[in-house]
Amino acid sequence: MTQYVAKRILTAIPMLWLGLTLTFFIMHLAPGDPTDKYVSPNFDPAVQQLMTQKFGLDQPLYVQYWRWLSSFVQGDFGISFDRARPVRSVIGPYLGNTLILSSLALLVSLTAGVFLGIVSAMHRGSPGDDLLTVGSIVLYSIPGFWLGLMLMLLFSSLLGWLPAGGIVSVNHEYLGLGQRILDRLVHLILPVFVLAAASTASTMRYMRGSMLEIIQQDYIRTARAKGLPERTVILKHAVRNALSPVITLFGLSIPYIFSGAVIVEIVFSWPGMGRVMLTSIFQRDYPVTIAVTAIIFAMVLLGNLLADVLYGVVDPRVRYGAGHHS
Amino acid sequence: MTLLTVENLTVHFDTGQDTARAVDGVSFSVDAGETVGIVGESGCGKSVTGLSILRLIPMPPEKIVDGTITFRGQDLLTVPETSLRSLRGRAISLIFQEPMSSLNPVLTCGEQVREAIRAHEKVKPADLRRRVPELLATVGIPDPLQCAKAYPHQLSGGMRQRIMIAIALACKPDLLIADEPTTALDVTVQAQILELLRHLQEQFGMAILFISHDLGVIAETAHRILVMYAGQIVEQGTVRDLFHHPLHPYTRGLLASIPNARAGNRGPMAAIPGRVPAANHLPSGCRFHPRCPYNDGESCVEQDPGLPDSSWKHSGRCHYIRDTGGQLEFRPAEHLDQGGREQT
Amino acid sequence: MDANIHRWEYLLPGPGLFLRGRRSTGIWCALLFLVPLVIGAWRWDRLAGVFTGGGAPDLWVAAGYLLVLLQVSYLWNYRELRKVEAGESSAGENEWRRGLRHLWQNRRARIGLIILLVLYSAAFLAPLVTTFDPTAQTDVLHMRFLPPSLRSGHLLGTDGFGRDLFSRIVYGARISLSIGLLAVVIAAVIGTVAGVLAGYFGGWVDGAIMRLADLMLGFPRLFLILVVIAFVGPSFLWVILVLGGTGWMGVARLVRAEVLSLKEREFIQAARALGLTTGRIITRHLIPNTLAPILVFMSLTIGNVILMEAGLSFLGLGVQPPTPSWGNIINLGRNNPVDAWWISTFPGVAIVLTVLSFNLVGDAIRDAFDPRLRQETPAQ
Repeated sequence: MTQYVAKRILTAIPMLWLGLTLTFFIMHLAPGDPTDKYVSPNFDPAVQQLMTQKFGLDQPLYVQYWRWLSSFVQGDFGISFDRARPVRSVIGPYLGNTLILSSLALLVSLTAGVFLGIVSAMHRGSPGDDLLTVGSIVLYSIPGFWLGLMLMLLFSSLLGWLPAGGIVSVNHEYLGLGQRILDRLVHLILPVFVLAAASTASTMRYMRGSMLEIIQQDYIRTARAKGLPERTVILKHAVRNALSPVITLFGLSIPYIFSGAVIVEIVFSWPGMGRVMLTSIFQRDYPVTIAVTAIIFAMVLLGNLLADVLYGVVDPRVRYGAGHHS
Repeated sequence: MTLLTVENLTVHFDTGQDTARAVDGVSFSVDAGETVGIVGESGCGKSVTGLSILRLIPMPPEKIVDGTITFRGQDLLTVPETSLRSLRGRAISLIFQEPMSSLNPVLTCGEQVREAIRAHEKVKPADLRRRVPELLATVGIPDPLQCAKAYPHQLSGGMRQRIMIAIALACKPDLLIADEPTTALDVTVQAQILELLRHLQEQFGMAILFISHDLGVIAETAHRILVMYAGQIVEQGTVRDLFHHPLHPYTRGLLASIPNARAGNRGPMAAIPGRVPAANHLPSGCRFHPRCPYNDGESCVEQDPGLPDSSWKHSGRCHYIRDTGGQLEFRPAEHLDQGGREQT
Repeated sequence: MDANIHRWEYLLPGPGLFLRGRRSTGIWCALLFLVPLVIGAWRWDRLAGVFTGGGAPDLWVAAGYLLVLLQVSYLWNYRELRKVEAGESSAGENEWRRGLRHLWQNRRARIGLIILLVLYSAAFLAPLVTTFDPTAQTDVLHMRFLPPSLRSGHLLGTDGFGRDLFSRIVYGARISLSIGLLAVVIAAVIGTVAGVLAGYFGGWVDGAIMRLADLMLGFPRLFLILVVIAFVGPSFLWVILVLGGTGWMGVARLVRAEVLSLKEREFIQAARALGLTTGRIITRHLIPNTLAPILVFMSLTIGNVILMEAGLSFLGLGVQPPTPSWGNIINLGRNNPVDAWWISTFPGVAIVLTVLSFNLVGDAIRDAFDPRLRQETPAQ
């Protein structure tokens, strides 16, 4: 197993490097000079020259690349053009929030999707199954931002049950510990739901399809022939086999969750990386944009790594290779 | 002592457009400790018969239209699912044709055997740890401990089939239904598995219902044989009876088509002309008549011969079978019209 | 009715077929005939602009579309009548026909197709179907934030600048539908080229292309798009290019797989033996065979592309106001979510209907044309 994980990590590293390199070169395709931002009628060209030197922008490209890469992997993401602070301090507080939101959404969509997929497959053809299938297609077709707005309209403005965005309430500091935890949870409900919606729908459909296929396999018949109760047959034998392809496909939906997070964060005023990214775009704050992109990419890779590990746990054939000698 | 009695089992499949009559009025019995073989070509209904005993075929497409299967005084076809489950794997076990696809790829072999035991008996983990390797050793696996930790895809075909047998035997069943257990194996491995089954039968005293299309294999293992064609039993009798005095033209055809190394070069291999009819397009009258060299064009086409009653130790389903004083014989010259004969 | 087909049945599409038992076909032909006429008559005043030579290109397109619908109704009617005459049942046995039939029989797909037909028609007929100018801001003070009502003529209300919401949504349909289609086509073209190159030439070409594809697939698509837009600025053109440029990977994989399997088939080897150039082989032989899965893929992903475009416009990085796009309308409506709830709600409904229809149809296309992907009988 460790061998398998180690192999996976080794393949992830070049990918990470490629991604960072790609990001860097996109940055340098940008029209114009980053120092142009500071240009004004009173701007002394000599100062501009100094800035260029300071930022190392007069160096040959490969030198800049190497400088950038080496500082990046050490966690130094440069200076934000807009805030004149290290990028790290600009991004730092928000990274955690995005991580919480995204991981929760991933967790919810995986568990809910798998569960609903099993239920749906087991009751194939029933009205409940039809409802779930149609429901998932509909859910899959709803734009996240609109869903978020509508739900906020309903649950917050009209019914007042849930907060209208933000990560904590205004009076958060004045609440007791238990209430504070509750407060945070309540603020998570809508954003996580909206973010997880589409992913849940597609996971559910894949799981359903996978289950239906697995149920027809011979070893399910063997399990029944042993006299095992139906629940064991389904949960222990069918589900474990049905999960493998679903986990792989689930790994592919991780980038989508991060994409969706940008929109969800805007709609729910969630202080996360998405918002930082967007602001940096409007402000032409390239170092921040690049840093956020690269970090997100790294997180996606990490997510894929975890998915691969999970896949290895579920399917021993992947771990031990096909040592097949018939 | 009779263990299992199947009476008039009729199983149909609803294909949406028409009905496939997979098994039609099949009756037989299995005594304790004996091996009964069911032989026939693909599609004749033998597997359906075997699987239906434990109701392992999904019910919506399959429909058990008629029949009773009596085991220990209960009709297996009407008994509730929970009672059936307690019989499966314990009193009656099943082994399948494809050991690779019949074993769950994500569980270790040991776990799959343990499961079989745990399903029916309350065993302490320590006892389980002892019993599983013992069981594996009984079925002839050389390194039981290692094997228990392995996954199915890491073992060879023969080993996997042994695991299947171990699973089937875990709770010492009275009856083992073996559905083409050796078909997917190499010939040498085949011989080993057959030997193993024979050995285990003696050791455990269990009955075996052996289903196969290979007449040679059946001859080696079975005491009594049932020949099936197009969903019906066309001949039944002891191995000796069948091979020395085959009654039904189909059986004769099967015997003739066994390649005989000693026969020398006697021209092309004999084969039964034509094909097995599809279960939803069965011929009228005797189902074998389109392929039968003795087809008389009249009663063979119009009327199903039926089997003589079960008191006969050796009987067949054919219009030409006549009672010649205590014995049934195949008399092509004499026909139904030329003298009455008992029919069912 | 008697066996001979009368003249009037050819001239008046629909009733003839209906009376001869081809009911649903008859109804559809009649609809396709009547609806353009009704719209044309109702909006004759505007259509007249085409003839006086003063019409905007918009109007020409709308007029052309009406003519197309009429034409289709006549042709279809004619063909079906011919078939009735010849006594054929409507069973054409080639693969495409069979697939189309299967598609039509799938209830969900049918609903999807009908909705799409209505949407595309509305988009083409926009100048005729809407009563107000989507970008005109007349008398803002009195016209802003009017709720939906039949009486005022503003079916779905007005937005913060007094513009009619219904018109904006219809014109927004044009944007979304065309961006969707164009982006998917671009992605398909790039993907096909990439896939063919990778599959046919193999070796390092294959490795490089597939590596790039994996890399881009690993990136969250929106981020990729945002990064590019961050540098080039939002615009209609760039949105299409970027959406197309980030969606080619799926097609490439499909095409590559097809090419790999086709490469070894005899007819390719025969073509090579005949001395056909590589280019010829690719265009004449390989690509036509990969067409079906590409179409399936396109129909499955166009919904997603439309969602992304809406998202971009919502963020302010897609189509820019005042050009209406469903996304940016919703964005403007965000400021008054409760008081002027209609502004944010209705465009969203439009998006959902559109994407849902594409997804339903895409699912059905996959079931109908690519049996490899669906082993069991489809009947859902």
